[in-house]
Amino acid sequence: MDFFTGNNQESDYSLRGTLSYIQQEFKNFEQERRVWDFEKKSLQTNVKQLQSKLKTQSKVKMDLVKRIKMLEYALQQERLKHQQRSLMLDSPKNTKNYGFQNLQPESYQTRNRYMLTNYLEEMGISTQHVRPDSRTMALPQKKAFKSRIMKNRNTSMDSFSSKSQILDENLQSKSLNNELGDLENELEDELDGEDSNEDEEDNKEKKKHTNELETPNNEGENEDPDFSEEEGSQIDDNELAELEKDLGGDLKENNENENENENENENKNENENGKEEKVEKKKVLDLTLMFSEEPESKKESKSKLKQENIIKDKGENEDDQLKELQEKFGSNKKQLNDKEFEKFNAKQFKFGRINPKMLKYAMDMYEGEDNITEDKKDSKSNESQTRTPTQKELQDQLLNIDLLNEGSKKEKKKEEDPRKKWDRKNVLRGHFDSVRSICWHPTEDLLFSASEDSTVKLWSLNKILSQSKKRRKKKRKSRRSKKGEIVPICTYRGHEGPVFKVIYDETRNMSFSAGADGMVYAWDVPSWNEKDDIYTSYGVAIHHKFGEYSGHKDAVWDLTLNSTSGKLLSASSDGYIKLWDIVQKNTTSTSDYLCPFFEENNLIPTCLDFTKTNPNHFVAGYTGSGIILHDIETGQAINGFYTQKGEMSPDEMTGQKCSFDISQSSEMFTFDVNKQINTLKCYPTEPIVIAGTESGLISIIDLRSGDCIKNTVAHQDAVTGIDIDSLGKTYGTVSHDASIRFWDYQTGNFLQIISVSRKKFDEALHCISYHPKKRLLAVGPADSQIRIFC
Amino acid sequence: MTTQLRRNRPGTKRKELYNWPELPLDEMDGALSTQQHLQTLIKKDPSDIWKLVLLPDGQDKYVWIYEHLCQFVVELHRYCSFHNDVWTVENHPDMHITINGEDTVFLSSAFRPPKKVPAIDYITQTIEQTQDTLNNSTLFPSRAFIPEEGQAKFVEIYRRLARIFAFSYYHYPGYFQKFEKQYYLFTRFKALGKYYKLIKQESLLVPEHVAEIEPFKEEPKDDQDENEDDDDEEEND
Repeated sequence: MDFFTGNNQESDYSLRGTLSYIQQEFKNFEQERRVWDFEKKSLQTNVKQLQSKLKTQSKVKMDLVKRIKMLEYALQQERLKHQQRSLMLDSPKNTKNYGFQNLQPESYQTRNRYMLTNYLEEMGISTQHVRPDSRTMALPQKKAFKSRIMKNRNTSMDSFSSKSQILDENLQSKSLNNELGDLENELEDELDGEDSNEDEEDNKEKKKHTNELETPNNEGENEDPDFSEEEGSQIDDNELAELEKDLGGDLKENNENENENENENENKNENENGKEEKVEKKKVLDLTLMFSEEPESKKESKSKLKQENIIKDKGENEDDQLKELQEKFGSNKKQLNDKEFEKFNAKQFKFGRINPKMLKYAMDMYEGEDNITEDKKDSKSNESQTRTPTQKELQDQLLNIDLLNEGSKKEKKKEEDPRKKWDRKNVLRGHFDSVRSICWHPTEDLLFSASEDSTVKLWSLNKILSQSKKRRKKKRKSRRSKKGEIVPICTYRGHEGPVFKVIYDETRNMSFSAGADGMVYAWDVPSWNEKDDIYTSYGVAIHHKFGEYSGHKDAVWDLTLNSTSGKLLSASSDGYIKLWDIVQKNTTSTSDYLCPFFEENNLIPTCLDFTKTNPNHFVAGYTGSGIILHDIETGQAINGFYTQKGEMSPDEMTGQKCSFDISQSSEMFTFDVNKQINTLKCYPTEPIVIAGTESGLISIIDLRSGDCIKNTVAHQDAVTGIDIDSLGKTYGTVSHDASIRFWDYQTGNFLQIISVSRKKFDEALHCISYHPKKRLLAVGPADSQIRIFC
Repeated sequence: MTTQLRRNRPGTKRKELYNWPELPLDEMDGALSTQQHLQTLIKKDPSDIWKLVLLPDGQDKYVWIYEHLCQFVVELHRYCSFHNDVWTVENHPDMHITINGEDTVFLSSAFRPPKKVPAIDYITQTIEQTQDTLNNSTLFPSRAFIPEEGQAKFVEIYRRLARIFAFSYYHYPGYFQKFEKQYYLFTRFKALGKYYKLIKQESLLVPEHVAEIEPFKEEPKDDQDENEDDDDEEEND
């Protein structure tokens, strides 16, 4: 039996059995663990969402509290003045400060409440919803924010271990309660797992949260010597604590956030009802002090913002945060004084939008009583800085982070996306008349501009580009010296009259210009570096002239160049398009092209461009509504295209055939300066041309099929310039309606409009040029000041 | 499209450039109206000196001078091109003018300390320097109002530019006269400078009879007012 049972027992605990048992158990465990992991992640995301909501809510609340405080004070002052006037008390000074205590509380309260609710309604704040203005979004901040995220990504894994150490220390020094201990354990567990980053972050978030909760409480209890001040701050503390506790509770229980709104409203009502009597002037002083702290706390709050949002990323800033926390909590505890508290408050307030007018009003009232000039200065300097991120912005930032987290590749693409909005960067002052044409040096930051003041100028944008990299340092410098001004590094003179066009030849490092004098000049590009003197001695008035091409009998309006084959085309109002061979340095044209209908209709070429797909083809626009495709080799006009046809509306043309046979004279192609083609540009990779007309049309024409891809009224006035970005994704157009418009090439959608309001006679903008390599854009206006965008 | 638009469309013939109906100054709007008006006047008749010099109604005196100076710089670029053949380093290794037997050599202020450069470089550098000064955003932030720092620059600019004309007058009177007959540049320069007391006859460096025009006497009242203003200005200077 024993043996049998022993056998039995053995069979019960056989190696195989045990193994299979263990395996099963392990599988179960794994399964559980997966479930747990999944739950954990979903909970984490919940927590994150709730945290962000909490933040925004608290910001809104703070904003409200602030507004109410200011309102209260303003109302009191008004009441006082009124009281003073009506009662004519003996000691006005006393009544100014304390007179309101003598007022009948009931009437005071009811009136106050009435006015407050009225005001809030006026401000568009009902008691149900509070939405900060989204217009206060600050773009630069966003940018900085983005770049910081990038940094964070780079230093992700390396700093992980060191961080956890600091975290441990931090935990010890804080000696927080069990909750944190649990968190620590959790964290240690998570250190093994790969996906631990999120948890760590969460821990920090929670810790920080508790810190914030405790800081003000300590404050209020311990360190306020002045009674009135204590009263004021206590109110704040309690409110804060209450709110945070409420919200924190919600957070843990994963409740719906709708309650929070109610809480907030309750708080607000409390403020309105109960606090009016308690509020004293000291409070306003507190407010002002908070504001005066703002600039200092701005950086901190920024980094804070980041940490709230970059939950998945790790990096240096987290260390900073930890240090911050340590400072707040550790040895510096004693130093937590009023200022610190106010800093904290200011931070909180920062997130709400503060109405500067209100602030100023409150400040003015305050000043009127006490004449504290310092505060005035503070308030004024702060007014400009009270633009704060809003709820909307925070959401945007969260969105951005999500996008950025999808992959670094996408990030890079996004950076270079030409669809991104253009910002004003600089103004180049140097010309004295309309800038007719501009072009970029493809590799260096050099810009050529041709103007009606009969000069061509060369600009170096090195300075402003480096300025943007070291903006802060350079800003000071530029203030100090006059050298902050960008002046042209070279002025090409020689044209006797307006210069209409300048282009650059990459292969030979030359530029060509043409003007009303009928001449085409070739110019050398001077070698120049920043250390050189601005004014160089050339020893001759017309310097750097490399060659000249004469032959036109009238003004030359456009030039185009095929850099590789060395063929230059010029379009003149004498009716001819002339071809020059710049490789042979021939000073006479090799062949001439006339519009087939020149004699008939007196059509004059206005603009031209080589097609990028066939080096022997070029398109020319004429002083009618038509475009002609020419062939250099045969010297023949291949095909004609029209942009307007009879009574047909421009949009109807879209999708239709718009080519016509050149051999037959077309009625559509008659002389009409009001419909003439002003500018055209060939698409870099396809046989497609984009043309702009005097009537404000933009036509995109497929030269091969003869289809009109798009034909639409794009501007209110003549389209004068078109350029396509180097990637071919977007194109920009400028017009005499004084606007620059950007369009998506694929979809044809309108992307952005920038207005430049100054007009000279009926001319506004003449030309636009994308930098081939960099994100830079130049626009030449009639007011002679070249605008640079980036 | 009933009214003719004042613009040079691509393809416009040379003789039709700027060939649009004159627009009265009070009908112009926008920041560039003074420039538009001045250019219209010059285009119409550069020899109608007093019409060009006298302050149009409702215009700021300093803005008017500023626009004139800008226009001078534009035309001085052409002045240089015009003298391109004779103003060479070989002919004039320095900016050297002999007036009544007295030799004067001017040093280019584009360098610090001022440097002795060939005459042509002195001239181009002076023009370019003036151009940059007039485009300086701190001295001349706007075309509608000239701050005092900018006003103070006018005299200096005037003194420098006068040397270019004097150089041409003493060395190449033929070129000087030819250009003058066509554009009346120095005549305008002198009349404006003297009328607004921006330059004294001695600083013009050329004899008084050169480009002398009959004094303006039609509106003595305006004249007096201007003189009073100018006196004030001179004190400041």
